[in-house]
Amino acid sequence: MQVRYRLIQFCVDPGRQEWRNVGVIVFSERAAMVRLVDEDLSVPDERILFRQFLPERMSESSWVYAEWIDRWTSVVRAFDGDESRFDAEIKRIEEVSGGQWSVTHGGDIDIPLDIPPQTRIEIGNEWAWRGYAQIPIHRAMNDLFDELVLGSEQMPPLRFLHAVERLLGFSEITYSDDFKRDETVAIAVAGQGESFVHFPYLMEGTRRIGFKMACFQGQRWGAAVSSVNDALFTFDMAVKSQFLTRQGCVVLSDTPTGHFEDLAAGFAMNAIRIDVNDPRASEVLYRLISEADNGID
Amino acid sequence: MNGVTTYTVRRLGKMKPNGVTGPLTGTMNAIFKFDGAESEHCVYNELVAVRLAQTLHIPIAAGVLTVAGASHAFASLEVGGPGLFLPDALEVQWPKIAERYPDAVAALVAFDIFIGNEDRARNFKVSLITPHVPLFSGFDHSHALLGSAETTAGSIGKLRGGFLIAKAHPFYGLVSRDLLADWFYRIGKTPDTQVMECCVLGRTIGKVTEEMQKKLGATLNERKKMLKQMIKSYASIIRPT
Repeated sequence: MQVRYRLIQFCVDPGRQEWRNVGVIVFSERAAMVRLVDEDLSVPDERILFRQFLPERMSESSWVYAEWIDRWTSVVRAFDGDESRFDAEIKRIEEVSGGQWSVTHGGDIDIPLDIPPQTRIEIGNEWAWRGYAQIPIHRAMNDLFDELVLGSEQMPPLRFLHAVERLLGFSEITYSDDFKRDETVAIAVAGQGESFVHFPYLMEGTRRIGFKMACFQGQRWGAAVSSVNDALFTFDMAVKSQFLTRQGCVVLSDTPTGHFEDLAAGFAMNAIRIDVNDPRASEVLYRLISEADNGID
Repeated sequence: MNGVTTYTVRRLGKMKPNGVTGPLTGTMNAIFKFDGAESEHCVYNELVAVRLAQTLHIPIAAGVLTVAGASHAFASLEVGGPGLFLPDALEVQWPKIAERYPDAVAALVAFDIFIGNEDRARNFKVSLITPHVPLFSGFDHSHALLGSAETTAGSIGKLRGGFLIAKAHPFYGLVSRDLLADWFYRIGKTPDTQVMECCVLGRTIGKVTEEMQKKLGATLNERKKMLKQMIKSYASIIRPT
């Protein structure tokens, strides 16, 4: 059975035109489903994921984001098999979104029709077809969501994000009034003009600390190189502009192996690398913050 | 009437000195409207619509008169939260909206009939799934008042003649008859001086002279007396429930 899918993207930073995959729509001739990143407070991983998708400066707009989810869900629920009208409605939502939402044409995929026999027995004739179609579509939707949203190169793996959040919590850094999430900073370096750099976490205070993340395990080589280069560039600009000192450049990473070790070695001269899997990581981070607060280099 | 509209903040800046309440400078998002071929008196229409709405307590997005380039402009504040626009309501959601915001819907229908706004369509924002943030707000009135017909004279004529003008509306067939009647009564009872004060701005705006402004004010004062009858005359179009 063939289904079509669309990828929903959200622009987390219009200034830097940074987009993230946040959802998928799948539909066949008669059924359509959508799944988007949502904040499910009962699931810790969802909270972390949601926080990564919605910039901190928009945290007070999480209710607006929820309204967007409702709109996407409503338009998908109203799908009646007319793809051109469906696409027109999606396009209209995009147009009035102020450039913050985009739906791309993903493509077509074939999905197997291995429906458990009891499913077809339990539902009546009129519903048999719809139920029959929805189960494969539901599975396809979840598979595409896992691959395109959770597995996107834009996003570090969830387990890594979870480890980072756990580390930040254990080190008590998140309780500080100086702790900021998702900060974009304009940095001016003489002779190089102004650049915007992004810190997923930033500690203001007596001595500022900027954090970047680098995930190696389970990552594609290109994605890992990209995150390392981004971190190195950010720290280079930050130090040259005196936004940060060398001691204030911290990269949170997991344990590199094989070729990734050489990649991670690039941080040696430019940043302090803290391995989130190291049992002493929270202690190291706590001490770093304390020294920063006391102005110790 | 429930709901308080919030508007999109673009950026918060520095604290202003000498402010005992700790005020900050900042910028908000707005949609800027200008007079043009599509709506010759757009700025005036938008401004007066907002003034009337605020006087009557109709749920309409706030906006201000400003100057952009060489001409006046109307800046309609964008409805939403910090950094994120609120989406438009979908047609499939209109019944749900009418159910959740019956009074706001009745107010909007009454207002659109009063000012001759035939272009409501999807020009409103609403929160549907966040019960702690009730929000219902209309916007875009460029084709109402002096823009409700092809010419200014035609607009005045239609408004004065008690014509429905708004032949289609997202909430026709969904609005409560009783609530609509209440709003028509309320608009009808608004003092003439208040309606006139909304329309007469003390200066020419675009091509709208003070004389034209006074003529509109007088026209609306006549029209507000006809609203009650309009529910009966146009029941088959408005279809109140």
